[in-house]
Amino acid sequence: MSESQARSHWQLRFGGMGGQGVVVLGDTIALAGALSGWHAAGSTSYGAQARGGASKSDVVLSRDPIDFPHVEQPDALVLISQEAYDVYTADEPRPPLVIVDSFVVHPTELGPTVRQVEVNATQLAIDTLDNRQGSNFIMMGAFLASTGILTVEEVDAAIEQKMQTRWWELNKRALRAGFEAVRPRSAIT
Amino acid sequence: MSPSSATDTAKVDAPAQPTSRFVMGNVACAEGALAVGCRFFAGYPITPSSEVMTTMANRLPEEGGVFVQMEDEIASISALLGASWTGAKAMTATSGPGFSLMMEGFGYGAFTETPLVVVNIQRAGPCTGQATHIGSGDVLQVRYGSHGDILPIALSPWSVQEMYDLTIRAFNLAERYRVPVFLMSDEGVGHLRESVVYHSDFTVTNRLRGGPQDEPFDTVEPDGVPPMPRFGDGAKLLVTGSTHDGRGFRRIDHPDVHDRLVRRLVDKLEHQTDDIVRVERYHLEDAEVAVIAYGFTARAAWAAVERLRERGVRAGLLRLQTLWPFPAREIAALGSTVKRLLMPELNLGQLVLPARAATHTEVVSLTQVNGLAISPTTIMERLEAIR
Repeated sequence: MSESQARSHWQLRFGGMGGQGVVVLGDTIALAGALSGWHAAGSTSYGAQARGGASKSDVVLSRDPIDFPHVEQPDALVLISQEAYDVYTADEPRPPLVIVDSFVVHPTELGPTVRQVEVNATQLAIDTLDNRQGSNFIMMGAFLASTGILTVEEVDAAIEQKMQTRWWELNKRALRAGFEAVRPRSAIT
Repeated sequence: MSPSSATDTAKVDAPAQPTSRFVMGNVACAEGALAVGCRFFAGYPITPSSEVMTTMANRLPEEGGVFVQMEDEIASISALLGASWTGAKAMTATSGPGFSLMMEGFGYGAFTETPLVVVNIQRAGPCTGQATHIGSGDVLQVRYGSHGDILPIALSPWSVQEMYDLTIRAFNLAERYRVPVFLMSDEGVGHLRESVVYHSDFTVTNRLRGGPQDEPFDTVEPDGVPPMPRFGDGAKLLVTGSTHDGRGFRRIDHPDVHDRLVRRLVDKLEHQTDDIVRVERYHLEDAEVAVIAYGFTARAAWAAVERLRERGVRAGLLRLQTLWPFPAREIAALGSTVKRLLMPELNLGQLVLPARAATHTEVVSLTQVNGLAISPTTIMERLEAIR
């Protein structure tokens, strides 16, 4: 088992613009965690009220009951807009893992303590899924491959419980496309 | 009749395997209401409470209930009053400015002894304030916001599971004591997503209906809770917000009637604090300092206490699940065992006032009104500083 998979507590943040689907991403990973035996908590901040218009969905997964359910210091960020990148990577201390959709985010140097994973998710969605909306779950797949926190099958279960049937196939394919895009270069798995 | 037999109680058979769901606190609140028999909801949408209303709008028709979107919050709570007098269990949900409007109907409900449940998902006020952000600035308003002497029942959930469980309890208390009951939640808990079990392992309390010879607005029973007939049963029924005698006739020039009524309505709750007041204690056995907290802030306090314990600091937490009637006795007892108390609140220090009145031990107030949740770190630092 990798160091990552042995972790007993994760603080995760999904950031983008309002309406992009970060709430769906956060809800799905939290539900997948809950269905897989983790204690899970999710919370969102959205709309113009979030800092600078960036929208976020925070998730805590823990092997123990969760006392404080908000994210205090993220262990991983998944960012799908430049504004969210600029806002949420500025927090100190810097998060150790940042995963971006490089089609819309141009990463900057964050220093040696931050591992940045770039996935051209929007382009990949257009090319392989013929559907730009698949980019979110490509990011989810990239996130799974980068962290080892849950399996794609565990996220499949959340997709099936949470979503209408017509979205299942697209999102499951996207999940695998994102996972495969990152797995060969992941330092963890 | 003894207090224990004054209500009709029934145990609902628990299904073999209640399933766990992952939902928002506001959704769990609506499901708790449905589970305990709420069949009427009238409301006006307002962030961050709207998911209670939208869930009821979807679910009530499935359960044979009635959902009405009203023109404003005064109309909403007024509709609850009417529904309750037909025998229905009724609920509304609101926040911020909507809660201020509902003070009107709360006074009417308390004075006419009308069971109903008001959910307040508190946000950062005053006024329109920050609609999507957390606050708990209404915890004194619920106590003193309506004119005249009224004692409310107010409960404070700290998890999605408690949004379900305490909504059920709110209805049971409303039915037991014939009063409006408030679920004083906040944006942090209302919008939190966690696992919840929609269990049916609870007792359902229903109001005592009484017979044609019973007075609907007075009683000689020691619990002070008269039986409540309903419109349509055939009784000649008068319901008025003016001072009234036991049969409901207006008695607006009778000092003795007014005095008796005002005192009975307060006493019927003050004499039942053993039943109504609930707190939870964490690490208090050997604590030298303790936090008193409620709502979402209590989650941060719990985390702070756990982390301080890991460092060897003897810190504890008294979590208030009932806000009103105020847990004065519990705080007095705690004050006699610790050196100092800390009360973090998302307001400028509201419940610290009755807490200080309850104990001679110093109660330090930690206030935050920026629309953000108080963090465990903030509470840890202050606890370390005062111990």
